[in-house]
Amino acid sequence: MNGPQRNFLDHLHPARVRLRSLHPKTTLGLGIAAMTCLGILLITGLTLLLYYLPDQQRAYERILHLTTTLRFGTLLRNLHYLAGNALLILAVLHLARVALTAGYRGRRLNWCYGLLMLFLIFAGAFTGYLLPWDQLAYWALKVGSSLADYLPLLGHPLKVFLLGGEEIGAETLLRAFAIHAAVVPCGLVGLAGLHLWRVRRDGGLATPCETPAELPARPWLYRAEGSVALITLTVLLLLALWLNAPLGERADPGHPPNPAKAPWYFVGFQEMVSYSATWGGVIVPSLMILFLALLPWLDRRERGGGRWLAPGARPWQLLLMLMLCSQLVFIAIGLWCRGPNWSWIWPPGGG
Amino acid sequence: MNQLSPPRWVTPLYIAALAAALAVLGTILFMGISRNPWPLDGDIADVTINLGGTPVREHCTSCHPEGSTATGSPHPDIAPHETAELGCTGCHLGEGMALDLVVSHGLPGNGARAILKKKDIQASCYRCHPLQPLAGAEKAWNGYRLYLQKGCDSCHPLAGLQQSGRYAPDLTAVGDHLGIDQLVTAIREPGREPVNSTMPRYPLSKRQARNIALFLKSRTARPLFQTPLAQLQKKSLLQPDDLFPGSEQLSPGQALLQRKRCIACHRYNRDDGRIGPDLSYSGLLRTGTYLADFPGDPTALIGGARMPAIRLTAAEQRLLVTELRQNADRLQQTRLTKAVEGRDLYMLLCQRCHAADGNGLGPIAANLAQMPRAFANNRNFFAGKSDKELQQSLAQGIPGTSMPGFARLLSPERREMLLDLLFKAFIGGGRYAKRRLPELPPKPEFALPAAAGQQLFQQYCIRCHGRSGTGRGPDAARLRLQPSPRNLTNTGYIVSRSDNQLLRAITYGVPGTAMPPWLGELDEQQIWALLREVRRLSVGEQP
Repeated sequence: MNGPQRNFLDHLHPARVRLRSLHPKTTLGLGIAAMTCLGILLITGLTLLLYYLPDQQRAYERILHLTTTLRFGTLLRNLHYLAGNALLILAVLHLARVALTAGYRGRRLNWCYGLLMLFLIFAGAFTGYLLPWDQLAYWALKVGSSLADYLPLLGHPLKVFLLGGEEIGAETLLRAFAIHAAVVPCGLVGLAGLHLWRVRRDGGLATPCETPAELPARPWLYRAEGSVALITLTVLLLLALWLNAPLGERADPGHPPNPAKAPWYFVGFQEMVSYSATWGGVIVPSLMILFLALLPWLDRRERGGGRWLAPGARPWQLLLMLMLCSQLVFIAIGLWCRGPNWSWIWPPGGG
Repeated sequence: MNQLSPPRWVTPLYIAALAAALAVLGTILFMGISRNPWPLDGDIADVTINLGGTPVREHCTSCHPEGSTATGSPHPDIAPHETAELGCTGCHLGEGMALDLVVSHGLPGNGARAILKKKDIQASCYRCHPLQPLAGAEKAWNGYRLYLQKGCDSCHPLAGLQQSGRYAPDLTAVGDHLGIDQLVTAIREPGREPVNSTMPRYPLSKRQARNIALFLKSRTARPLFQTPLAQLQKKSLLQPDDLFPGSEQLSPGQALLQRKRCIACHRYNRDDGRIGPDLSYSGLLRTGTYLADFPGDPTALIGGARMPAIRLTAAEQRLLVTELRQNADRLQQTRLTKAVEGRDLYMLLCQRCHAADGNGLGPIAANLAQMPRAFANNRNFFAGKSDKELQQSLAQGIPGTSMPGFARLLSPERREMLLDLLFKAFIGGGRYAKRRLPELPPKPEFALPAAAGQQLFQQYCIRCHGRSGTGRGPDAARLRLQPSPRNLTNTGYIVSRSDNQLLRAITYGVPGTAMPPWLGELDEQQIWALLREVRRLSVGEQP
C-alpha cells in the first residue's frame, strides 16, 4: 500500500486504479502523450523566449542567430516545432479516442474543456507559425487569416483581432507573439489542470461497468504514465535530430509564393474553399464545429461510456470518423497535389 | 477487496522507456557539447556596427576575418571606406546573423538578400551615393543610362525621376525584394512571372540586362548612411546630360523622338527599338490628328494597346506631326520609288507585323494589341472576304488596330500589286476564287431581352473572350490561342464592323482562328441577342 510519503502528484491521481485503466488498449496513452508534448513545449518555449524579439526587422535575424550559432539552438527549435505539431495531432487523436469510446458520457463539461484546449492548441500553432517572419510564415498566415473571413459573423472580427488590423503588419507580429507566448500557454496550463481534475472528480477513466478499483496507483499508474511520457520524449528527440523546422526567406509582402499554402492543418479548409467558398468555407466548417461541440448532447445516453464503439453512439462515431478522414484526404490533396494557381498535380509532389 | 496481481509488462516497459530516453538525451548532449555547431574553429565574431543610425549585428567575420575571402585572400582596399566602420552586410548583403554556409549567404528564391560578390558589389554603391559616374561602379552607371535610354521609365515609376510612367510595377524599392539574377530574369523573360505580364521582351544583351539589374539592385527603401536630410536633397535623380550621345546633330523633331523614348521601342529610319511599329512612314499612314493624339492616350485609338501614354505639349505635338510627315514624304520619294516589286514593298511595310513568311508572327507581332492576320495557310479566311473588303482594309486600314491605311503612301496600282503578291506568295488559290457565303440569320421578330444576351455571353463566350470581353479569358492563355481572341471592348474596331460582319463571325465562325460557328448550338434569336451584347460591350455601356 501507499507509503507515508506523499507528493503533489498524488493529488492528481486516485489512490487505486482499475487494471483496465492501465491497459494500453483502453486509452492508447494519447492524453499523457499530449501532456508530455505540452511540457516539452513549455520548456523549449521558455528557452526560445530568451532569444526571440517580436520585431519585424529583427525577428528573422533572431531566428537565424538562434538556429545557427547557438549550441542546441537548432535542436531546441526543431523540438518546439515538432512538439507543437505532435500536440495538435495527439489532441485530435485523443478527441477521436474519447468519442469512439463514448468517454464523454456523463462528462459533458470535460468534453467542453477539451474542445477549448483544442481551440487554444490551434491558436498556438497558428500564431507560432508566424513568429519567424519568413516567407512561409507570412504567406501561410495571409492565406489562413483570409480563410477566417469566410466564417459567418465571427470570421471577420476574429481576423481583425488576430492581425491587429485588416492587414498583416507590425501589430500582427506583436499580437501573435502575445497570444503565442502568454495567452495560449496560460490558458492551456489552466485548462489542462481543470481537465485532469475533472477526470479525477468523475472517478478516473470512464468504465463500462462499476467494478471497484483494484490496484494501488502507486507505483503502477505512475510507471505506465511515465513509460508513455518517456517514449513520447524519446521519439520527439529522435525526430528533432532528423527533421528541421522549416525556414524560408525573409517575409516579402510583395512577392507571394505560388501557390501560397496555409499551415498544413488548415490546408484541408483551403482545399475545400477552392471548390466552393460558401460550402467549403462557411457551411461545412460551421457544421463541423457545431457537431464537435454538441456531440455529448447528440448522444443522449448518460452511462456506458468507456468501451470502444459503445452501443448507442455508433452513428455519431461514424460521422466523426468520416469528418476526420475527409479532412485528412483534403489536407493530403492540398499539400501534395496542388501546384501553381492551385492546379491539380499528379503524381503527388511532382510537377 | 479483490487484490489482483499487477500487470507484468508495466515495469519492464517503464525501465526500457527510461533507458531509451536517457540514452537519447545523453547522446544528444554528448554530441552537442563535443562538436562545434559552427563550421570553423574559434569563437563566433559578434559585431554590432552603426549603419546610418541603425545598429546592425553580424557574425560574418567568424569565417571571413577582416573581410578575407573563403580562400584567405584579403579584402581589397576600399579607401576611403573602412570595413571596420561599414561592416559587411551593408554592401555585401547576406544574412549577417546566420552562421551557416547556406543561410548566411542569402537563401535562394527571390534572392533579396543573396550575397553580392566581386563585380556585383557595385550594385550597392548607388544605395548611398548620388547617381553620377563613380569609379568602380561603371556597370551600374551604364545600367542607369540604359534604364533611361530604353525607356524603362516610360512605364515603371521610380522615385526621384522627374517623369515616370505609372503603367508597371514601382521599382523604387525593387532592390529590397529581388536579387540580381532574379532581376536579370525579370528583364529578359518578362512573361515568366507573372504569365500575364504585358512587358515586352527588350532586345537587350545579357550584359546589358545585368547592368540594368546592378542599377536596380541599388534602389532600396532604406539606404544606409543617409540622414533624412541627405535623402531629401537626393530625392531627385540626376539625369545624365549626355544620355543620348550625338543628339546635338539631330533635327529638333528627331531629338524629340529620342527624348520622348519613342525610338526605344519604335523603328524610325535606321534606329530600331524592335518592340513597336515602324514610325518612318507613319506620317502618310495616319492623319495629323491621329498622330498628335495617339501618344497621349494610345488605348483610346487602339483598344488594348500596350504603349504607355506619353505626354506631349501642343508645340511638341506639332513638331512630332511635322517631323513624321516630312520623313514619310522624303521616304515616299526615295526609298519607296526604288522598291519596284511587290516583294520589296512587303518587306518594307508589312513584314514587321505580318512576318516575312506571312504567318502573322512578325518580329513585333507579340507586342501588338491584336495579332496580325496570317496570310499563309489562311486561305479559307480570305476566300470569305470580298475583294472590295480587302482593298478597303489595305487602303483605309482597320480601325482600332495597328493596321494603318496605305491610301496616301501607295498608289492604287502599287496596292493592287501588293494584294496580288499576298495571294501569289502566301494565300494561294487565286485572288478572285471566293467561296459562296451562306445566308445570315434574319433579324427575329421578337428580340430577346438584353439580360438574356448577357447571360448567353457569360455562358458561351467568356472562356475565350473573358468576363468583360477583353479577349483575355482563361482559355486564351491556357490554350495559347493564336490569334488571340478578339478584344470586344475595342470600340474603334467593333464600331467599324457592320452588323452583317459580326453576325457572320458569330454564326459561321472565323476561319483561321479559334472562333467556332455557333449556328447549331444557338438559334437565330440567341445569335442576335449576342450581337447586341457585343455592341454593348464595345461601347462600355452599363447593363
